[in-house]
Amino acid sequence: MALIQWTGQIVNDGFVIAGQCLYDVNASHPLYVAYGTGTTAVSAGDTALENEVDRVLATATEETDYVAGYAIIYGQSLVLKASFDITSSITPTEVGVFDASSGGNMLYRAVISSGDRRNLSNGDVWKVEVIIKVEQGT
Amino acid sequence: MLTSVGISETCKLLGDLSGGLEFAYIAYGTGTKSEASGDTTLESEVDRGLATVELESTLAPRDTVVWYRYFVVEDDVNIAEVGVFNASSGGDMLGRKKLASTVFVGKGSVAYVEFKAMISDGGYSGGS
Repeated sequence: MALIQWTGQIVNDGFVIAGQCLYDVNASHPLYVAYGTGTTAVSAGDTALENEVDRVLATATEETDYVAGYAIIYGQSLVLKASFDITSSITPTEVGVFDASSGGNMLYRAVISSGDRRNLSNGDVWKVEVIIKVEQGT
Repeated sequence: MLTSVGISETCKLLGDLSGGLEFAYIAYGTGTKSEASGDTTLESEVDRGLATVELESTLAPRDTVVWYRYFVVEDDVNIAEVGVFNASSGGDMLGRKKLASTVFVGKGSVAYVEFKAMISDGGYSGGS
């Protein structure tokens, strides 16, 4: 087992979700992680995975200087940990973060680069971490 | 500038974690010290009130949170700093802005005070 890493993008709807969380007690929180088999490059206007396969409620924690494989994500981060029970042969190619167990709004989408894709089989458990680093902008 | 406390609180609010409290209050003051990430209060707070909060578009649709309030000024004041908080007194300060130049507001006048935070992209993720 080896940790692979990829970078994705906070999409346009994600800015709204994040902004609302700052002030709105009724805001929905981006706590659901999904994967799919789409390979189209991420676009800021994406509102869903290209071909979603499964979605689960993630475990969210706030971390300081989080160690993700060989990388240290310095500062404060929100880490979403998700675990998928694989029921048939599949190669996940995209990951997203949503604010609902189905449908809802997408905060983030990443397409896994071809060299980092895993061929999974029935019975495998695929663990995914999405690290949202919050920091001062320029 | 977002403060260190504000960044931590933002993580909690995004993740719906214990201790997260929404930022609903805006304050102004007369402190002229430059912003620092370690700031936890305004340098010299004068007044604070519940803000009206809206999303506006800067680089992407509705990517910017705007807190604002009209304050009735009870005494002559030179407004020099603005901050956003998650309590009507005390609490955590999300961010602090020192104005480029102070703004004089006379007794009995109404001062419009706002604070903006733009959300932009950046992140890492991984799987195994």
